[in-house]
Amino acid sequence: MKKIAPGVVIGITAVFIGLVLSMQILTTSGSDQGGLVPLAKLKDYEQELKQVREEKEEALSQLNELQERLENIEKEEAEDDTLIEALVDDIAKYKLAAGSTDVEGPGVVITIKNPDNMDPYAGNTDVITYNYELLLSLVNKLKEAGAEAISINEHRIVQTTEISLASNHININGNATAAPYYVKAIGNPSTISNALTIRNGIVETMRNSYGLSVSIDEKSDVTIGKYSGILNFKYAQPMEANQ
Amino acid sequence: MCREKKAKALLFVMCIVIGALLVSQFRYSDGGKMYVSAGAISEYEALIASEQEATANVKLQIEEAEQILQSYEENAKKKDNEIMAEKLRSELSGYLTMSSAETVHGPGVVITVDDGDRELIEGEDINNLLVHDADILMIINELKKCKAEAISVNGHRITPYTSIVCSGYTVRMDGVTYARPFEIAAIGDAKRISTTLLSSEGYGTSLKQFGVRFSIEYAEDLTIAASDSGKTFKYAREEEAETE
Repeated sequence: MKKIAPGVVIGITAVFIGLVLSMQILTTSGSDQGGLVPLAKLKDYEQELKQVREEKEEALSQLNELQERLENIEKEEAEDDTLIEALVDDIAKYKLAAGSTDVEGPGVVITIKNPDNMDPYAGNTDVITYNYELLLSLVNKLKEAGAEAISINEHRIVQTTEISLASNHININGNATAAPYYVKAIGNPSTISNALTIRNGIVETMRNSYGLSVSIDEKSDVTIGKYSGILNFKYAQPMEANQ
Repeated sequence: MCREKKAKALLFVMCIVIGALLVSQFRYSDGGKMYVSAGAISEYEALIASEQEATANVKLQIEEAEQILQSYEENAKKKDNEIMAEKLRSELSGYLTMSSAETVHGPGVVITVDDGDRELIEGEDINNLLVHDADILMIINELKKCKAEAISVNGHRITPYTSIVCSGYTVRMDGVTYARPFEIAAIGDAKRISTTLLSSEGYGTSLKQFGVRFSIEYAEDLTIAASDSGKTFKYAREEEAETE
């Protein structure tokens, strides 16, 4: 065997070290690592999200308190004013159907999670977001099964509710949402769960064709919060007003 | 001899350095450990922005409620209920429109969707040319995205509880069966609706590309009738006021 001069071996090794070092420097330098950001930065965002959510909760409870006070005054007034009484009664009647009251009753809670054992390098793993029409179809099936109130991640499904893809997340009632999705529905629990789990039905499609993990829990008591948006119609005018 | 020994020792040290560098390289480049994708950050940014917007919205409502409360207190002394009646009327009107319980009119669009009549390409699935329940569902969803305020399909008001189900050659809504062509009327911002549906990525454009017939007409004053299928609530009841 011919002996290789030690100098050559050392030379090759030195080149190799240089290569690895430059790779190392490339991957760690700068703040934008080719679309990757440090995990620590994400923690800050988590914290901020938690904080803004708390702020919202606080504002909401303040609003609820005010609305309760208004309602009490109105009810008191209704006792000796028939016009007010008629209005208060009508409001009570249509508020429920409009989705503007907190409701409770028997129903189901459906949990939808993205596939978790996927290769993290296999492009996008947010299956449910990029196939948001599955949620739209699920809501349609729930209505078909007679659901009387539906919410997705606490956003009440009302007449004007859209479920739409906005760049990389799903908007519901104009609010950004993210997986996992918890879909609540009030209605006959077994009718709903049987309607969803028929062969080749929506749940089977979600599981088998999209690899989503879907579970349905039948509950004797589900609470669904009211729609929190403002009811303000710019185009639609009631017919009566014109006559 | 001594020189060779020195060289060997140097090689040994260099190999250790390479090993250590490689290990740290692998640790750093494992995205799951130290780094997350930029997508996750923009996801958080979107969530935070939407929560802030919602909070601002709630704060506006608080201000409004406070003003009303103040006017109630002032009017209580004067025994004048006109302000209260006015507030209740506008509140009721919102609930009526929101529950499809009232006939409404206003500007908007009428969308006509029908099965395509072009010749099938050899081996092509006829389903490409047919209108499905999912298509109508998607169009309605797009309309809602454009803030349409009242929608009907073939004259049938889409309530908060209406499901749209394909049954063979027809479509069933609230237990009533309708057939093609489908005429979807919507009250709202006509321009916004038509640009959304007919943009290059729009749902109308993609239907057209399949060969389904799709057209949008502006309407100055549409009338959309109230729903006649009054929803009865058997399971849902108003949540009892908390006893705290």
